[in-house]
Amino acid sequence: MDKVQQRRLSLWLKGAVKPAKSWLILTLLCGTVAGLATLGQAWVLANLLHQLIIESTPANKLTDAFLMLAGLILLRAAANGAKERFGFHVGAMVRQQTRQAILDKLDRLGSAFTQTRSAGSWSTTLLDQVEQLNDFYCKYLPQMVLAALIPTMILVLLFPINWIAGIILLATAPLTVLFMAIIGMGAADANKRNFKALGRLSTVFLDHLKGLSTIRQFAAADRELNQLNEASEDFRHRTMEVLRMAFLSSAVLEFFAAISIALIAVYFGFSYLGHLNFGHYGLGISLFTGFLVLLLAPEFYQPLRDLGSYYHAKAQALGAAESIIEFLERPEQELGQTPFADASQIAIEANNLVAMSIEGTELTNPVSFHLEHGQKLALIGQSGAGKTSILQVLMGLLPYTGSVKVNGQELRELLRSDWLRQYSWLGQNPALIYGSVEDNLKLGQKQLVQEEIAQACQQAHFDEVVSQLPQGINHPIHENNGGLSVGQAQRLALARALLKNAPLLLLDEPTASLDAQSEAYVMDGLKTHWQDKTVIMVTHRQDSLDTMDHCVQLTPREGKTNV
Amino acid sequence: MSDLWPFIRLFARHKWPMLFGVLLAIITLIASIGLLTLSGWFLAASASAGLVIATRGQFNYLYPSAGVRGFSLLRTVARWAERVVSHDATFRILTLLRGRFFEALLPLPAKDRQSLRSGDLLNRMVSDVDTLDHIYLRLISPLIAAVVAIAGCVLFLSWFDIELALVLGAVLVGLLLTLPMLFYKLGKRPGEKLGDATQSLRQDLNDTLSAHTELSVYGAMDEQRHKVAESEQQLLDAQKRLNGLTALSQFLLQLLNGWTLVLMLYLGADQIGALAPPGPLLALVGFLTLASFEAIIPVAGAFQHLSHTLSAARRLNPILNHAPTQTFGDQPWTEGVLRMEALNFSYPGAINPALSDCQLELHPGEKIAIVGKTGCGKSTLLQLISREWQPNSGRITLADTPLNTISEASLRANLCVIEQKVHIFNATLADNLRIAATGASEAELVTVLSRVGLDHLLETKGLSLWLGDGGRPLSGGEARRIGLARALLHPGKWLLMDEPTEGLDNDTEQKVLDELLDSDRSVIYVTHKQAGLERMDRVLTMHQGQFG
Repeated sequence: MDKVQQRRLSLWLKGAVKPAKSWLILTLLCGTVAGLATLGQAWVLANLLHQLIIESTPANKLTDAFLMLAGLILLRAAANGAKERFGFHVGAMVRQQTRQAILDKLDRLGSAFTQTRSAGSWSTTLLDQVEQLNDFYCKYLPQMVLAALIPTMILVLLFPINWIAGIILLATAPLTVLFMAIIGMGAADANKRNFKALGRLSTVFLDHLKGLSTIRQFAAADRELNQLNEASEDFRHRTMEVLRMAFLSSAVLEFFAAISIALIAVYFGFSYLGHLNFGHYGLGISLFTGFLVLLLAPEFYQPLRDLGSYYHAKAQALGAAESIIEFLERPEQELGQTPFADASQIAIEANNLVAMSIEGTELTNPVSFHLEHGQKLALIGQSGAGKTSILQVLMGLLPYTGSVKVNGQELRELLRSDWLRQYSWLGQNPALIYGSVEDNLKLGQKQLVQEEIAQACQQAHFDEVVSQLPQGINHPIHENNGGLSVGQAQRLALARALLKNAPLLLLDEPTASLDAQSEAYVMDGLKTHWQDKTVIMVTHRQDSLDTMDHCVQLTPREGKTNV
Repeated sequence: MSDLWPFIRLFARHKWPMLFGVLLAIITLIASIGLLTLSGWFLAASASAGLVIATRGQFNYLYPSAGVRGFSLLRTVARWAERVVSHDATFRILTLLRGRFFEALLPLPAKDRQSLRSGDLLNRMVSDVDTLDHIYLRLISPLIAAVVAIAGCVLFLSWFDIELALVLGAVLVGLLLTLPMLFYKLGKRPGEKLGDATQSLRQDLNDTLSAHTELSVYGAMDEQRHKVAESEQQLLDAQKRLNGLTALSQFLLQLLNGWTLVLMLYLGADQIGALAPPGPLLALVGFLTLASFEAIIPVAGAFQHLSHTLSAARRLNPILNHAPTQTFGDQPWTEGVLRMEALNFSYPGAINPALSDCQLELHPGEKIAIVGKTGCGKSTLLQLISREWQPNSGRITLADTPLNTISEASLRANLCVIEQKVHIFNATLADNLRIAATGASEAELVTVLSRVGLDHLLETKGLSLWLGDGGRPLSGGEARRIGLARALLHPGKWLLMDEPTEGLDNDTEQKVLDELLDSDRSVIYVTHKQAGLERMDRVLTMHQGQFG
C-alpha cells in the first residue's frame, strides 16, 4: 500500500468519527484525568517511601499520606474504567454507520451487482471487515492524543527536578516512535493480505458446502479437502505475518522502555553513591526524586506502548477499510429521479436495446420491440444469448444502451423504487427467504388475507403441495429451499409472484422445472392472471409461443437479431 | 468445561512448542517482576548507603546494576519469543481443526445435513475455531505462568519476612481464585449472547444478499434491513456488556493492585523481619507488590471470555463428533442385476411417502427412462441408489449383494450421478470437469466440451476460465451441460441422470442425448420430457411413489 493511499484511508477513517465526536471527547477527558492521577500517585508514593526509608518516619505519623495515596489510586482506576466505557461507544457508532452505508450503496447499485460476488463474501465484508474497524476508534484514535499528552505532562513535571532523567526519557521517545512507524508501514499491507486470505477461505468453504453432494458423488473428498486446507494454511501464514510485525513493534518499544529504566536506576544509584554528580541543578538528589522518576518511567512509555499495540488496530483498520472505501466510492450509474406514479397500464417500447454489464461491457445484441398494454412478448434464443440480461434491464437492474420507454418515459430516468412496484417477477432459480411458506408468500405484503393467498396458491398449483406439508402454510423453509423440491419451490415462487398484483409480469422460464401436466396448469393459471397485464417471458419452449403476441429471438453476440 | 476437553487434548498432542511457550511466559514474568523489584531496592539501598560516607565505598553496585540491565533485556527478548512461539503453535492447531471440521462434514448424507445452514457452518469454521485460540493463549499459558510467578514472589519475600509474604500470597492467591470465577460468571450470559448475535447477524446478512432481487422486487427490503439492524443492535448490546466487564475488571485490578501496595507498605513500614526500621527492604517489598500483579492481570481478563470460548466449543463439538448415519460396507462392485424390492421411503417430517412398495430390475447395459410428475418420487429413487438417503424398508441389491455393503470407493467409481441441480465450483473450467475424472488430459476435456456444445467457453481463457462465484456466470443451460460433460468424463458403467436436459433448447438437447446414450453404459434417465424416450429400452411411468 503506498503512502498516498495510506494517508487517504487514514483521512477517511478519521472523517468517519464525526458523528461520535462527543463520545471521543469524553474518552479523552477520562484519559487525561487518569494521567493526572498517575502523576499524583507517583508523587505521593515517592514521597512516602522517602519519608519511611530515609527519614525513618513512623507509619502512624503518615496516615494522611497513606489515605491520599489510596484516594488517588481509586481516582485513577475509576477514570480508566470510564475511558474504556466511553471509547466503546465511539467504535459502536462508527461500525453501525459503516454497515448502513454499505447496505445503502448495495441497494443503489442493485441486485445485479450484488450477484457479482458471493453472499458469503459480502457478509464477510459487512460483518468481519467492519468489526475490524472497531479498535481504531475505541483505542487507537483516543490513544493518539493521550500518547502525546501524558508523556508531555511527565516531562513537564520531571525536567525542573532532574534534567538527566528528563533527557533519558525524551531521547528515547522519538526513537520508539520512529521504529514503530518503520514497522507499521508494512503492517497495513500484511493485514490486507490477511483479509484476502480470510475471504478466500470463506468462499472456498461455502462453495464446497454447496457442492457437498457433488463432492460425495464423485468421491472427490480428498482433493477438495486439500484445496480447503491450502486456503486455511494460507490464512494462517497471513495471520502470523501480521502478528509477527505487531510483536516486533511492541518488542522494540519494550526494549527502549526497559533500557531507560535500567539507565535511570544506574544513574540514580551511582549519584547516591557519589560517583556521579550532575543533572540536579545543584539541588542534590533525594530518594524521592529517584523513586518519582523510577515510578514515572514506565508510565511515560505505557501510552506509547499502548499506541504501539493499537497500531496493529490501525493497520487492521486500514487493511479492512481499503476495500470498503473502494466499494463505497465506486462510481454509480446515475439513478433516475423521475417519479413514476403507480400505473394500471404499462406499454413498453425498446429500440436497439443492448444490455450492459455493470462494468460497461455489452452483453447482448440490440433488441427492438413494441408492446401495447396487455400484450405478451416471448424472448427466445439459445442459452447464453442474454435473455436474462435483457430481463434484468427491464427490471431496472442493469444499465443499457439504446432506449426502453415505459408509457413514453425512458426507463433509466425513472425512480427505481417507483419502477420496482410496477412489475412482478419470477426467476430461474428463485431465492426463498428463511422462514415459513407463509413468510415467503407474504414477502413485502403483510396485509394479504387468507383468501388471496389461497387463490394464488391454487393458480400456481401450489395448493396441492401445501396440503401435503405436515405444517401446511407454516412449513419452515430452510436454506437452498431445502424443505421443498426444486419444482415445489418454483411453484411457491410463482404463487408469490402472482400475489404481487402488478400491471407488468416479467417471467424468466417460469415453468422450467415443472412436468408437462403442472406446466399446463400453471400456464393456464398464469393466463387467467395475466389477461389484462403486459407480459414479457423468457422461454425456450416453442409450444408456449402460440399464446404470445410477439416473439423476439435473441442470438448470441456474434449473430443478428431477428424480430 | 468438559466441552473444552477434546480441544485441550488436541493441544496436548503438540505439547512441546506449547510447553516452550509456557516456559517463556514464566521467564518473561520473572524478568519483569525482577526488574522493577531490583531497581527499587537498588535505588533505596544506594541512597541509604550514600548517606553515610563510610559505607559508600563498600556498597557493591556492580551486581545489582548488571542485574537490572540483564532483567531488562531478558524481559524484552523472552516476551517477544513467547508471543511468536505460542501464537505460531496455536494457529497451527487451529488450521488443523479447520481441516477436521470440513472433513467431518464431507461424509454427511443429505439427512444429516438437513438441519445445517451454510452461513452458520461458515461462522463455526471461521469465528468459532478462531475463538479457541483463547484456550492456550489466554487460559492455560497465563494461568500456569501466574501460579509459578506467585509462588516465586511469596518464596522470595518469605526470606525476609514470613508474615508479609503470607499477606501478599493470600491476596494474590485469593484474587487468582476469585477474580476468574467472578468474571466467568459475569461474562457468561453476554458471552453466549455475543456468539448468538454474531451468528444471527451473519444469517440475516446472508439472507439479505442472496435474496437481494426478491427482496427489492417484492418491496421487502426495508423490512429485511430492519431485521438486520435489530440483529446488529443485539450484537452491540452484547459487546457493550462485555466491554462493561472489561472496564470493571481493569478498574478492580488497578484499584486492588494500588491498595495492596498501600497495605503492604503500611504493614512493613516500621519493621520487616528483624529489621526495624526496615530501610531499603521496604522499597523491595513495595516494588515487588506493585510488579506481582502482572501475573494476575491477564488471567482475570481471560476468564471473562471463557464463556465465549465454551460456547464456540459447544458449537464445534457436534459437528466434529457427528458420525454419518449412512454407512458403507467393504464389498467390491460386481456387475450384475440391480434389483429393488418393496422399497418404501418417506422424507423426515413428510406425511405422504415419497416411494411406496417400489419394484425395479435393471440389467447391465440396459437403458431405462422414468417419467412422471414433479414430486412423484423419481428423483428420490436415484438418491436411494446413490445412497444419499436410506430406504425405510425394502432392499436394493446389485448382483444379489445388498447395496449398503458395497464400499463407498467402488460405488462412486462405478456409479455416475448427474443431479438435477449441477453445482459449479468456484474454480477453473478444467477443475470443474476434472472432478469427474481426476486424470483427464486437456485434450480430453476440450473434446468433451465440444461434444456438449460448450466450445464457446474456451474462447477467451481456454480451460483456465474461472467459473462459479466471481467467475464467468453460467446460464442454467450451460451449467447443465457442464454436468453432462462430467458424465461423459466419468469412468462409471452406470449412469443416473436427473432431468439432465432441463433448460436446453431442442437442438442442443438432441445432440447431448445422442452423446450420452450412444454407449454401452447402463442408464437410468429421469425426465418429464418426451425427447430421447424413443432410444430407451424401457420407459417406466411413476405416480405418487409407485410405478404405474
